[in-house]
Amino acid sequence: MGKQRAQGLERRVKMQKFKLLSFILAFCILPFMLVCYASDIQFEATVDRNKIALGEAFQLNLAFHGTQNVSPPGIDKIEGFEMRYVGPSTMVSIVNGVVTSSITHIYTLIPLKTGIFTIGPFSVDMQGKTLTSKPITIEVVSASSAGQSYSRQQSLDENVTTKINSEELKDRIFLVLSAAKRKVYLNEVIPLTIKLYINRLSVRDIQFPVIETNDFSIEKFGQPRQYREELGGVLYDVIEFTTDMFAIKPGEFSLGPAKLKCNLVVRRQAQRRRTHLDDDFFGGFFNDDIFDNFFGRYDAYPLELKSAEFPITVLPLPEEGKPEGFDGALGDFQLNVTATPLEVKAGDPITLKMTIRGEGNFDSVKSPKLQSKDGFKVYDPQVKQNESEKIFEQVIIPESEKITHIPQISFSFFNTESGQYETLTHQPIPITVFKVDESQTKLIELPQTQVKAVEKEELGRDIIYLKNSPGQFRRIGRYLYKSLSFWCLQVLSFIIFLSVLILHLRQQRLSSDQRYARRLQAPLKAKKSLKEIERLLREKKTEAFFNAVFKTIREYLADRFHLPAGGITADTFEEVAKERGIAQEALEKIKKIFTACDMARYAPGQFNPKQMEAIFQDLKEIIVYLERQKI
Amino acid sequence: MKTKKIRANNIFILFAMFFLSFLKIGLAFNTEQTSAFNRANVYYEQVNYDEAIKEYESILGAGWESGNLYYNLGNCYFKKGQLGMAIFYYEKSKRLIPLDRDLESNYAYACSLIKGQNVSLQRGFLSRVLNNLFGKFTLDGLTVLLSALYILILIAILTGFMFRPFKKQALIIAAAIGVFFIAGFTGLTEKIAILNKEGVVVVAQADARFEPMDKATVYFTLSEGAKVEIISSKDNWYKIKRQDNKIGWIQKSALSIF
Repeated sequence: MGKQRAQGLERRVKMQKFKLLSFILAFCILPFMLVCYASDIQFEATVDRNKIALGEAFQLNLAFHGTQNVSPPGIDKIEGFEMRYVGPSTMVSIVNGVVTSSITHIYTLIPLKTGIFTIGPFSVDMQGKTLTSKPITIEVVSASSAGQSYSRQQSLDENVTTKINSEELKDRIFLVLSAAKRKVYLNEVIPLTIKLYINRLSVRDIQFPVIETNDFSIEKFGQPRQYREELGGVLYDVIEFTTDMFAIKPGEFSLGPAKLKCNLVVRRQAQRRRTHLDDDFFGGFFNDDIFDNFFGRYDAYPLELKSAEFPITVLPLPEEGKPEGFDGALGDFQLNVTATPLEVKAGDPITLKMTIRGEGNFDSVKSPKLQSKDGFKVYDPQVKQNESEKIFEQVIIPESEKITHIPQISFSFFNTESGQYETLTHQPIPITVFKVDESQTKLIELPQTQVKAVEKEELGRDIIYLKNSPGQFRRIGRYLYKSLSFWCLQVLSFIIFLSVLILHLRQQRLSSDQRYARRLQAPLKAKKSLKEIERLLREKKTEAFFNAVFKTIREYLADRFHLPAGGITADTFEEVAKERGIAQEALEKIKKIFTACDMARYAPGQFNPKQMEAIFQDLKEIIVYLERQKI
Repeated sequence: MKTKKIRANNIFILFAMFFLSFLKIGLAFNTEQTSAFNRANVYYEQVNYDEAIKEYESILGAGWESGNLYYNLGNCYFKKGQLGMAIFYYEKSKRLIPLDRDLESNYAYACSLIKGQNVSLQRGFLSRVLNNLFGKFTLDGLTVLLSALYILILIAILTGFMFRPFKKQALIIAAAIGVFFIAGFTGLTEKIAILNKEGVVVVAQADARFEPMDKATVYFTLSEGAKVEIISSKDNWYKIKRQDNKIGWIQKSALSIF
């Protein structure tokens, strides 16, 4: 008892300090407080324990959420308890910019006798409204029956590492497994909830709960939710894990137990002998919570929690009334069908978009069915699943222009709420199918980006701007074809052509035709010789003169008539002359020259210059004559 | 030997004359005309088309012409709204600078604005081929081309005579060139034939009549810009042939001859 009193004292000192702190805090915050309305305010009464030993103190908290401007409510004396007002505790939290504030008025209650008591309900008048809390049941036991708690306290003190009393822990930390329904159908999706209740314990390293089962398919747990819940008048911190599950086979099963691993944080206290001093000064100081918080050591104590099992009956789907085309879909759904485009050419695709929306096991939802596929080419649907809908996109191609409707589409499911099968149907969709031109049947459907026609560009039209330079000026009407020099050029080039050609031909003849060549050369050679003869005549070299004359006439005649030069005499030439028709007069002259030459060879002195001159003239005349004559 | 010397001299004189004849046509510096041309361009930029036309035509009055000059004149008349005169000058310009792209574009645009009729010319195959071959040549250009072809033929023949083994090939080449030459010559004569024998209607509408008289029956009507062929003239009348070979008499004032 003495020890308990000491504890109470300790707590009182603690509370007073707390009160002081709270006042300072309240004083700081007061100017910022807003006027609140009663409608926003919630009133809640909780105790920290609901099972207490006689003489042990416990805490009653009257919390007002949504305001801080509440004075301690005047509470009547509670029967069977000694009550003292400890002070207010205020709290302001800002979450995502939303400011919430609360004030808790704390009272300490000490039971005076054993038994079961009901505290409250408490009522508070706030701005004309009465707020009422729930009643709280408190069980007060005698000190001996509460010994467990007491002994635990002792053991805590005595051991270095704390031993946890499992009996008491059961009330302070436990796991609850629950499913939404106890009777489910095969494959029906039901939510599964696992709650971890924690009362005034420090717990960390909480792992996700595990349920070992072969009868159910359980999805992964999502992020747990954290909140506070009052259970039997005691306030618990709750961590809630939720997920969906469905049964795999029919029968009666018990789900669970769910297991959860966590670490319990336990304060380790130094083993110290309690002296007298401890109680009044040092003990009161060193045993202080705040002090311990700073200097105390903590141990992590691993804990595996097990929940109770949860019995579930899994019912098979009834055979009765099972519609045709039922594919095992469970839940409650709606069907929506759209088809685009509604006007196509035969052979062009239509996209059917079938959306199934609702609640249930979407894994069991399969594509709705077309009543008949006649006249259509049907492709496998593409499936897209969102949170609360499943979309099937199916391409169908009408094969002829005679088709007027997309057939009825139906979808059957088992409604787990009503326990009935239901069939959703979508009425036939009217479509227009055009006949395909023969020439277009071979066209291949191109992706839309390629089909997109280039917008025709509108170009402006006008004449092009002026020329900056005048270009080549020329006389008006003067054309090259009118120019004399141009024509002269043409004529000249023709003349050149002709002369080159003639020259070439002549040279060719000269080289190939000896008679022609000799005939051509004859007068040229004769001309040269005549000059020589004339020189000899002037120099009066009679012998040389006659030699030259003889040689000249002979060579000329030979060349002219293409004869061997050696064989030419006056007699031999007479025959040739007769053949060629040479005039008698010329022949006479030739004969005369030949005779004169013969005579001069023997008696050159008998010729005077006059006679020589006459012979020379005769020779010239003969040559001129023969050149003129075409023989 | 003497004859060879004479030939060499002849050749030299010939080439000198040849080049001189081109120099005379080609390298004429017309500072006065150029400055008039530039003045006209400035007037054009000031949207003073009448003054620009006056300047341009002063150059023509001095006896000088150029493709660009006709082109600019065409532009002036086009901007003034005289489609007929514009086409007339574009046609004249086409004779001198037939390969000019700007001219081609402006001519096509102007022709597209001719109202009403779209009488297309029905031409024979040979005529079309010749037109395609030689249509893009100027008269002088074609003349030079023919002259060159002629000389080439002569050279080919000479080669044939001088190098006996290649005589056959050379003569074939000469014959081929000869075909071109004949075609070109036909084109040239055609070009010469239509010189000053083509006309463009320069009034908004011109009636072609059966007889060269004001009271004669109207055969067909030509709108501004239409091109006709002049067959003959009598007093104040031209006998013209439309592109579809319909013939009528039209008043001289309605046509510009080029």
